[in-house]
Amino acid sequence: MRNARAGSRGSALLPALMIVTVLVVLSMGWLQLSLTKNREHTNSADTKRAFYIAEAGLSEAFAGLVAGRSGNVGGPGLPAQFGNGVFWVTAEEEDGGKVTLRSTGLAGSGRVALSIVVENMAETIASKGAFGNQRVDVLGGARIDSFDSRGGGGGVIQIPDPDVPQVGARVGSNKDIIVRAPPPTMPLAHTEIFGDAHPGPNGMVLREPNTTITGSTAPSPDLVPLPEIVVPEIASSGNLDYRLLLSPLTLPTGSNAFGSVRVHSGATVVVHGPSTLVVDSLQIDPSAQLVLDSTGGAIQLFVRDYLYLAAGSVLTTPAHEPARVSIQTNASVTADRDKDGILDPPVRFLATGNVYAVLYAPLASVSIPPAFEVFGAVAAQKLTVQQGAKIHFDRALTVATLENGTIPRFAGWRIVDLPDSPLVVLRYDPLVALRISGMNPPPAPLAHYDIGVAPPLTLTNVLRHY
Amino acid sequence: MIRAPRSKTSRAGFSLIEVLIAIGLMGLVLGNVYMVLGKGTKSYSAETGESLADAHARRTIDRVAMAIVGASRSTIYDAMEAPFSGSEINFQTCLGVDAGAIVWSEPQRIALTNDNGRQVTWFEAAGLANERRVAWSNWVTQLFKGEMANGVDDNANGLKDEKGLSFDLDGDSVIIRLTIEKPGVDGTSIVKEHQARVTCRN
Repeated sequence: MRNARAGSRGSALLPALMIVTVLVVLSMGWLQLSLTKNREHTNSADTKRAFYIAEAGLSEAFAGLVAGRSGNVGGPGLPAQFGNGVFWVTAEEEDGGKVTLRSTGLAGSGRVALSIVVENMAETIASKGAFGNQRVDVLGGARIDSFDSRGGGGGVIQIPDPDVPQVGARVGSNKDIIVRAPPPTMPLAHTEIFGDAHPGPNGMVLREPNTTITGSTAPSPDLVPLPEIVVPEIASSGNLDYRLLLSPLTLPTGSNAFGSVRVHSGATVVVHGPSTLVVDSLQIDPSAQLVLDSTGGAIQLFVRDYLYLAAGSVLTTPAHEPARVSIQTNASVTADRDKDGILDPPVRFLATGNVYAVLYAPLASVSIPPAFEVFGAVAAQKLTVQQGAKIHFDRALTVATLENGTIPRFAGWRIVDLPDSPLVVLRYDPLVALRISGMNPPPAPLAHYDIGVAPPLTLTNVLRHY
Repeated sequence: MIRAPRSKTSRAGFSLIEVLIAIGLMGLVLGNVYMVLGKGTKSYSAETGESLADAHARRTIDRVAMAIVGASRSTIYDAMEAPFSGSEINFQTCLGVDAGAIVWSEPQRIALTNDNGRQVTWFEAAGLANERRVAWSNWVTQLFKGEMANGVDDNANGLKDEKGLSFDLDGDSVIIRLTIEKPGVDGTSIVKEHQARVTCRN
């Protein structure tokens, strides 16, 4: 009996094994199906999240451009965090004042790269460079070149590389531009415009020997209107005659208005920004000094009737930011103001100094002497750049920013190829990868880069830790 | 070694009845196993088919959406506003900037093609010598799910007689509707419909 039971032992094993095997196979199949579906949904959701994060990156970079930043936000070496993902945006300047922004968004396993093109060009009168409504005369040995005050160089003009064509300066007129040869007393000199010289639609560029224009001399398609100066209405505090030698007068920030302001020889008047200063007439005597310090904010100086910076006077703009200092005058009447029997023109810049500012006199002729070196832009009814004088056009004035009242304009959107970056190639969750690498991505608003500052490019730590 | 004589019990076999009962029980068990296996396999196949059809429909509409999202709204033509719709859309997309000017693509088209109108095809420079075309799906239905060709909005989605792939405009947005029908197990068909609203970025 015991042997019979032993003989039947294991007879249920086969069907039991079969049933278990079937159940295991089915379970594995369902599990695999479920995992596949889940992975597909996760990938799809991650890609959509990455798409919207990349779009958020474009918006952040656009806001940066509006605020005068470079448009670079984060970088492949240290992206910016946004929600559950990261992004970085690179900005590339194109011809015609356009900027291409490329945003790479990463979320989970999703990666998307988008690009927009924006027109980042200001159409202000300052963006025209050295502009004369009726004529521009560039006399012998004068030089008009350009720099970029956003580059962090403090407005230092770089020594030009002879192998690189120098461009970027702008000279313009609604009529003719005349570029004179250097006088015989300056045999080695050249008269130089390192950039474009655009006369009016019916005007022309007249060039004498030993002159250089590196850019276009094609006429402008349209007349450039000189906008009217709108002088703010501020209650006048009367006349200001300042003559104390050892004690500079500092005007309060904010809005101030005076009748006539005269700074006598040896005296100094300091204007700190932010400031809006309206005067009927402004006279700076020889050896007197006017300081326009825009470190704390923009300075707008409006002169209604008469502007005279005498020879030997000093005009100083310590902040080296032309976009933040403007001198605008409606002066237009030539009269004998000092009763010496000689007629005085309404606007005279005879001072000494490196002036980082925008000078605007739409109703008067302006002459720039050699001792008065302008870093920024000048626009006048007639403009003369005297022998040996220099105007350094600030290319930052061509860029649309809130400060000059314009904003970049959207021009095109597209999907672009993903960049070849470790974070993109490795399909890990970028936040986890960065955390393991000991990196903490900054929030988007803190990840903007100024112009001239390069974002980090490499992310080797990720590769090492994985 | 001398072998011990076998005992009677060890030589005892199964009776016929025992064998028949055993075979019957084994048949029942195997039958059940077969049924379970068959149903499981069928269910697995059906679920896999559903999943594949859904993934195919989603991928197709994502492709269409990603193509249209970069379109310039001003370049879109052959698309209508509700209650009308079209099964074809023509547009151009931005390719970037060259020498200071924005560059636009050749005209692109997404349309239902084939005699049966069941293929979603993307065209570039359609009808020109440099035409390019890519088929994105071969499983589109003649009409959107729940719709019949009777001039009435049968499925109450605001459109009349919309095709299996349809486009209708709403301001700067394009609404894409897609119905996919793929053969499933046992001759049944799997129908999946998706719709997406895309705002043209250019």
